[in-house]
This record gives sequence, structure tokens and C-alpha cells, in this order.
Amino acid sequence: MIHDRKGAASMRKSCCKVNGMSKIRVENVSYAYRNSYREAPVLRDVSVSFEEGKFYAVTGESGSGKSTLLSLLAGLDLPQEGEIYVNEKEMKKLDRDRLRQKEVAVIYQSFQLFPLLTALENVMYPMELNGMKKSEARKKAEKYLRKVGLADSIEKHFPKTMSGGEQQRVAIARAMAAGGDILLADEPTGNLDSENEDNIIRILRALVEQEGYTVILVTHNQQIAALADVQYQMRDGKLLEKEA
Amino acid sequence: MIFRNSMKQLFRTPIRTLAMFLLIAVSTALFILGLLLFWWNQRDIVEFEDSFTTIGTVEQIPDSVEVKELWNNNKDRYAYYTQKIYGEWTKASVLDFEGADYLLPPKKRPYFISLYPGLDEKVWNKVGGGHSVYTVAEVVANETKPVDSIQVHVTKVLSGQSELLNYDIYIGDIYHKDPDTMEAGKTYIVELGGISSSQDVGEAIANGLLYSETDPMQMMSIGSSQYTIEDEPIGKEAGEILFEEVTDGFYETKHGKAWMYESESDMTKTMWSMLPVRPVESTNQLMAFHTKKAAVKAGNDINEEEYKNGSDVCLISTQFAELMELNVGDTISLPLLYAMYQTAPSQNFSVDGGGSFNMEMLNANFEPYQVFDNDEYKIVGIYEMKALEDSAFGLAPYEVIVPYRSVTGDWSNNIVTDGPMSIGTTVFQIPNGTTLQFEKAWKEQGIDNLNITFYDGGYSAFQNAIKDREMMSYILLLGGGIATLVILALFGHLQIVRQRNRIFIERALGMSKKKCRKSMLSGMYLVMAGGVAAGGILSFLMTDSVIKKVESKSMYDTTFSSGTAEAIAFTSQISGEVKGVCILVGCVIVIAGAFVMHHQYVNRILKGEPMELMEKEE
Repeated sequence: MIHDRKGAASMRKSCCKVNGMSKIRVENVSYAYRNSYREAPVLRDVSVSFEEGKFYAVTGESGSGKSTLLSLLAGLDLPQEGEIYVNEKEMKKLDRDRLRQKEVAVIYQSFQLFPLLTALENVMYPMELNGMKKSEARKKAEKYLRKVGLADSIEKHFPKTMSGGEQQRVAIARAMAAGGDILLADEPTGNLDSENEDNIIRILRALVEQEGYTVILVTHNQQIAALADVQYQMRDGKLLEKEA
Repeated sequence: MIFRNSMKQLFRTPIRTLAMFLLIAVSTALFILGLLLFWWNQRDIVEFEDSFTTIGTVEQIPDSVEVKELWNNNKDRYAYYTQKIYGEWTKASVLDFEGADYLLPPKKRPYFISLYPGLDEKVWNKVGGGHSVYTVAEVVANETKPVDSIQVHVTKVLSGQSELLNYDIYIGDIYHKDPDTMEAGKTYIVELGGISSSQDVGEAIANGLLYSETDPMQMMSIGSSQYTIEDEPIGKEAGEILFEEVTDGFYETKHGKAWMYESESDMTKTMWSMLPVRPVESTNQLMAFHTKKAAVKAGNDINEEEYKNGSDVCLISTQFAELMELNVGDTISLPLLYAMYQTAPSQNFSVDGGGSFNMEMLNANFEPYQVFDNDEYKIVGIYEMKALEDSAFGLAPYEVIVPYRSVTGDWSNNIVTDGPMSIGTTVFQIPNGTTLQFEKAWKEQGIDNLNITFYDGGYSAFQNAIKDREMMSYILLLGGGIATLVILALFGHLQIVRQRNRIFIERALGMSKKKCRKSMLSGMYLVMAGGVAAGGILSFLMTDSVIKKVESKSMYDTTFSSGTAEAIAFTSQISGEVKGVCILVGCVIVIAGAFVMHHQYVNRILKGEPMELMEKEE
């Protein structure tokens, strides 16, 4: 399976190179947080293209808008101006629930696991949501957990009994279980020690290289960002490409 | 899957879930008990209100009581008696003041007199021992002298005691000190009273046992006691005639005709055939019924519809039914002849039959009254009076009760007695529990010549007990309702608001809002439905004992008059059907409340984009 995916990814890479197709394309996107009293612009006329099978890193200071960009890419909201295309389809016209269910997965600094479900149940959740039978979802969930390096013994653990690194790996396994090939990671190592940080980045890197995922990582850690294929920096709501 | 995961997550906090189940069960049970008590109370309040009426009686207070003298020629001295002096009669309209809220307005209500064929003989037979006979006769004076006591020869008996014919008897104007004079040899017409039907007239006269010079037969005047509907005594104004000389063509004159009418009226028969007919708006308006001294024994009371429609139905007394051999369902003819505004029938008709009437049988034109209403009345019930009494609180022995509206004829030209407002004629009804307000408002009118007395049949005592119970039902209903709301709100907060992150995760995983709602609420609803059902069962089991406790606390400590206590029979039973309905309604209310509240919680969270949710989270 992995080999198949890898092969497919390679093909898609070459395909993209040939056709220059973007996995996600952002055009002139602006976004501001609004409430009754004021409006706080976060993104200003951002344009960028994320090609498939690549590892992107977006850095920037806190509040610079990098997490907001990631959320917009996940379809958690729509930009007030500009367009976002996923697989060349205009996001506004897409069923964004379905997009997150099938195509784009997100992992967060705070892991966002269901606290009352076990590691295994957390991973099974998106598959069952997609209509997969429980028994099949269970098998696949066990496989994904093994893939992120979690032993069988941890399957029945609840998130609060696991370490941060373990929880983030469960979150990655759950992202994989959704079945898409775009993974958005919002400061995934922010709460982890350096050892776990390395592990997570290695897993993400492997997803790109072996599974053909497009990973967009938001981080303020320059060292982690340096491991990406392409680096961007958010500054004053603008996205600037950093030279390698 | 969504429901399974919802349940799974719920049961992974078993203590919270169990607490939720139990608290909802208890609060629902309290709420339903409150509902049941509330229903029970409302039902009893309706019964309670229907069982009581608050009647006010009005009596004009006389301006003074004077000692009057009445000459008696037989005794040759004055007799003294007291008389209430009223001056102007106060109109019932003075009771129409601001603050007076009447269910039955105060007005002077008459009773009517119908002449019932055959009643006289039945009564005579029953009473036995004879009765007074009134005689209209032509007499020739044997001497010329004032008529304080004069011997006359009876030459013609027009009506009454025919045995007097051809006898010489003494007659006299007992009550006038200076009576008019009859002339010897002249023929006069007179009315005589006082002779008993059982006496052998001839024998009595022959033996000097009857009507001697010193004890003459009483001469009675003819006249009119007619009143107008505005209380004007037009009959009195027409004057009275004690005797008149009979000359040629006398019976063609107005007075001659009046004597003939008087004769034809046959006062003896009339007096004993008189049947009192009481038109009322409700039997409770009659003090005997109101105080439970009288009650319908056979058949039914006249119902509201019959009162409203003025149906020709009536209640008769057991005495009348037995005397005339009448039963429920029979009809009787009631030609109404006189309207009486002075007293209640019981004050005129004696308990043994007959009675005492301050009335004349001719109108102000000295003509006989005409029947003003004549209908066939169906007997719907027979009432019994526990003990007959001749006060205004009693009922006449043969009193017939009919709906007020059933009498459609105009009796304004048939009023033969009248008087100031009294307990026997003037009653009104006000809403239960408003006597104090009425009395306060009445005091402000500054009218002090009317005595108003209220009879509420023990309502005030019952009212306090019912109010206590009502308060208890409100406390349970409100307490149970508020407790249920608070518990629902608490669990909504714990299970939904405090788990908003779960909604964010689900939304981030691409779960639609609809599925999110299902995920959050389905498990909760199952537990809640279980709790509500348990509450329903709990309330079902507790109802009877709670009601018994409440009842014993609020009702049995109160003492009532025996009449009232007998009349009120509140039951502590609530039928299974009512219990079922109350429990169902209570459960539906709680579940609907939970549905609305928890949907509100979830919808508020789901309202915005998931990103906003994340912002709030982080």
C-alpha cells in the first residue's frame, strides 16, 4: 500500500511539475477578525501556491496570521476577499465539511483528541464518520497507529494518560485515517520536548516523501522550518517566500 | 456510529451520567406531583366554588317602632300593639354602587299565588276540625243603631255559610269606636267572618252560644290592597266599605258589582286553595336551601339550563306531593293570580295549611284580579324541608319553586301585598370570598337604614384550607419546574458548553452541524428520557400518599357547620386516567424543555464558523 501510494505520489509530482498544478492555491486573500467594536486585519492580499507532495513551512511571530492562514486552508472559515482553490476547485463552491472529512486534515499544537475516547477510537472516528464499518476501521486504525510508531499497548489509553508526543502521533494517525493527502499542521511540536519534536517532524517528513502528502506546517521554530522544502514567512499579514 | 460514540462518551463519565439520571428523575417526579396537585386543587376549587354560594339578605331598618292602639267594641277598650314605622321604603337600586359585584343582583322578588283546584278540600280533610268561613249576605236591620253590635235578619246568603239564612244574628264593627248606623227595616250587604265550618249554626244560635249581643259576628270590610310596581298603595287609596244599603239597581253600581265580585271570589275557598309559587334564579337563593335545611329528595334540582331558558319545570315539597299524590314527571297547572311583595311564603302560609294574609281580593277598581300567567309545569324534583318553620328562612309547606324566567306574564297589575325590603323578599348573591370588599364599599355609601347580612355557608373556613393547599401545589409545581430547569441547564452546561471543544474537533473532522447536534444530544436525550420516565413512575407511586398527607394537613383540621360538612364531599382520589394524563403532560413538558434548551446551547455553539470556535478555545 505504501509502495503504491509512494508510486502514485511520484507520479503526481511529475504530473505537477509537468502541468504546474497546485494542490492549494491562494489568490489575493485578505482576512480580518471582526466583532461589534472593531476589525483586526490579519491577512492582507496573500497569494501563494502549495504544490502536492511538498513540505511547506510557514513561520512568523505570534499573531502574524499564520494559524489563520492554515485555518482558511482547512476551510474552517472563508476569506473576506480573494479565493482559495483546493485541487483547482474554488473553496467557496465546495462542501467544506466534506473537504475536511475527505481531503484536508489538520493537527494542532493542543492535539485536539476526544478526551473520552481511547487512542484507537480517536483514530477510528473519521473513518467511521466516512461510513466505514467498525471492524474495518479498527484494523486500519491499528495500522495507522503502528505507522506513527505507537505500540499496540497504547490503543486503549485515553489521551490524558498519554504523553504529549504520543497524543500528537495519535492526532497524525487520525489525520491519515481521514484519507486525504493534505495535512495542515498548526505548531504541532509547540508543546513537545525536543525528542518528541524530532519524532513528529520525522513522521511528517515521511508522510510527504513516502505517502505523497502535501504538508503545510505552521511554526515559529526556525530550525523546524528549515527542514521544509519551501519556507514562507508571515509578516504584517503578508506572506513572503524565504530563500532556502 | 454517531449515537454509539455519543453514548460511549457519556458513559465514560458514569458518576456524572448517573447523577444526571437521578436528578432528572427526582425533579421530574416533583414537577409531575406539582402538576397533579395543581390539577387536583383546581378541580376541588371548582367543586368548592360550585358547592358554596354567598347570599346577602337586605332588610330595611324601621325608622321607629310605635305602640298603636286598636279599639275593640266587644271588649269596650283599646288593644295595644307595636308597629314598625318605615317612612319611605328604600329602593333596591341604592345597592347598585361602585364596588358591588353581583352574581345575582339585589331586588325585591315576589312570590305568586296560584289557585290550585282541590287543594282546599284536601287541606280541610287533612287538618280536620273545621275552618273559618267567610259569608257575604244581605241582612235587614232589626233596629236602628250604630253597628258596634246590631241584630239583623239574614235574608240572602250570596256566598259562604248558607245555614245563616233566615236567622237573626248579631253582627258588629268591632274595630271602630264610632261606627256607622244601620236603619231598621233597611237591607244591607255585609261580609261576615269568624264562623267555623264545623259548627251547627242553628243550634249554636238557638242556644245563645254563638254571636250574642256582646259577642257579635265580625263585620269585614271590602277594599283593595293593590300596589303598583313602584310601591304605590293604589288599593288603599280607593278606600274600604264595611256595609252598604241594597236598593234597586244596587248591583248595577260599581260598589254593587264589587260586592258581587267579592261574593263570587268566595274568600273561604280562595284562601284554602292558594298555592305559593316562588320564582327563583337558583334554589340556593332560598335560605332554606342555602343553609341546607331543604334539599331535593327525589328527582333533580332545576338545572342551570332550565333556569336560563325559563323552562316550565318546578320543584314541589314532599307535603304537597303526598297531599295531591304527585310524582316526579307529573305536570301541574299553575294559573298565577296574585303577586306578593311583602314577605316570603313561609311567613304567610302556616305549617299546617291555610295562613294569614294581609290582602284583599279586589283590585283598586274593585274588580277581581285576572290570571297573568298560566302554564303547565313539569315536576322535576321533590324537596324536603328538615323542619318546617314560618320565618323568612323557611319554606311554606306547599311552596312550589319555579325558574324566575318561566313566568313571562306581566304581574304589575296583580300586586296585592307590598312592603319594604326584607329577608323574605330581597336577597342577592356575590362571588364567594368578597364579603369584606362588599362591606367596605357599602359602608362608603353612607346608607344606614339597610341591614345587610351575609350567609356563606362556611366558605371562609374552607377557603383558608383550600388556599393552603393551593399554595402547596404552587410550591411543588414551581419548585419542581425550577429544579428541573436548573438541572437541565446544569447538565446542558456540563455536557454541551463545557464540551464545546468536542464540537470543534468534530467540525474540524468534517462533521456537519446536523451530525454534531446528534453527536452531542442523542446520548444525553436517552439518559434524560430514562430519567424522565423514572420520574414519571416515581410520581405515579407517590401521588396517593402525597395527596393524603396534603389533604389531612389542610382539610381535616378545619371544622365546619354540620350542614356544610354534609354538603361537601371532596374526594382524595385522582383517577388513573388523570394520573396518566398528568404524568404524560409532565414528561412531555420536561422533554420539550430539555429539547429547546439543549438545542439552544448546541445551536449557539454551532452558529459560527469552526474557526471562531477554535479562537474561543485557544
